[in-house]
Amino acid sequence: MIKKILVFLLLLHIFLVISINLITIRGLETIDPQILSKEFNTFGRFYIRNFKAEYYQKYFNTIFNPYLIYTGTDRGYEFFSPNLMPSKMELLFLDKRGNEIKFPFITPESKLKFFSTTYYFNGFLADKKMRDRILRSMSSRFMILNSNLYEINVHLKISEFDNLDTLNKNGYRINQKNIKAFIVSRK
Amino acid sequence: MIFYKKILVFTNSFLFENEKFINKNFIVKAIALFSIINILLVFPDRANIFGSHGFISRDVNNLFILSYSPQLSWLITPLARLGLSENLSLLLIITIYLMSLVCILMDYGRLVFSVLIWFIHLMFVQSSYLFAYGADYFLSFLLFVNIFFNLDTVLKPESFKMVCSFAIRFLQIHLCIVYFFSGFGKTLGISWFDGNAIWYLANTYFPWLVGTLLPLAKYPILFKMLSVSVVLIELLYPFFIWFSKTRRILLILIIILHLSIGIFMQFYTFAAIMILMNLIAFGYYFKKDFNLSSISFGTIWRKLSLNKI
Repeated sequence: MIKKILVFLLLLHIFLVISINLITIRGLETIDPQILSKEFNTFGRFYIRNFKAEYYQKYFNTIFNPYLIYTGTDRGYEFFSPNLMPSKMELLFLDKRGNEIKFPFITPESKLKFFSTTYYFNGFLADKKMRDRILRSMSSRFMILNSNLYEINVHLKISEFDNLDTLNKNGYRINQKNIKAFIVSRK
Repeated sequence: MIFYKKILVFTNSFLFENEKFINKNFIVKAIALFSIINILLVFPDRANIFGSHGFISRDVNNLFILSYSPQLSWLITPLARLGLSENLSLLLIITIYLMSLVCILMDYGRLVFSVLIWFIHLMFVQSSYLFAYGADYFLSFLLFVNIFFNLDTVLKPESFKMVCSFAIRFLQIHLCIVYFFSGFGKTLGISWFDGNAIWYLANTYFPWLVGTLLPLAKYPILFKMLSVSVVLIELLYPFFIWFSKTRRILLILIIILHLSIGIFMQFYTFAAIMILMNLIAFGYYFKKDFNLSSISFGTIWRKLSLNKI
């Protein structure tokens, strides 16, 4: 009996973890079609266009998500896939006078965790509502920690890197942009 | 029919008769020790990460998780009704988590505490959804597998041996899927094939080394070789880790890969947990390789071919 349960668990696990990975990769299609043709190779475009999983995804999430959440396998494993972006975005929080407000994280692990937050935040840049909610939440925390803060200016510091070909033609350079993105005030 | 029976014998032997060289005590204690270090590394910043008014507030966090996802508010809200502040509740939960891990290290109530730490860790991860990254998710999985290694108190010795063997296979197969899809995702793009992935990684995660790498950028083939080899190691892992002749080299390569991630990208915890998982899953083979009575794939098949079924 124990053996049967364990074999069932293993088969279920293999099916679910493979499925969530296929779905996560499939989710890449939501990006701009122009980027799709530029950033994906022939195999990538073929895979994205031919693996249709809408219904599968819809029912899969409802039925199997609890298992994936409770085993910590719900986010898939496509680390740095399919490409790495040739840019890096950092969030800068400035007070009214333009002084940078430093994040109060103490340990390297917490700083790394916050780096992950910035990475996820990149995905919400186009979603104004979500982007504002996240930034407002971060700003509120700063205001809790510092009662003298009444207004915070959020800047996006974007560093763009050349690829190896351009680097060898034009030399090393980083194109940096500092965009004043949002103002969050204490209500 | 004979083939079917052979498959059954093989599956049984593969999944349930592999516990001989597994050091369960080492596995359980290594996981507990890692978990202690992991939580202590974020302890000073607990309010900023897990607090309901942390940098990602509970309201925002709830947009990303489902109602049945374990979350700290399940404990903090009732404790608040008893008059405990959030900070105190958070301290209490972390203390219970740490004490449970210490109990496991001291072989006290291992099963109960292994379930408890698995659940509390899930609460930490889900309550800091935007802060959580690979290392947290792998630890959640490892703590889930850890429960199997603590079933000795409720199972008969024979059944427990079987479960331990299964748990190791479960972890091995999971790692194979993880590496395969990590490599597969990379094969869809361009930057892992033209070497730019490594260059972009350097600029993003270890800019302090870019100056040293600049002279090497004149030879893009070096970057190409490095990035393609990462994809190849990940893609081939699920296949070649099973053969005794390739296992050692593949395990060394994957450990080098994770050490590089730890040193250069400064993903220390991620690197450490991946190395730990690999050592738990496949490290015991090296102990086994020195023993003539080992049960490897080859010997199982040899036994099967001699078996007159």
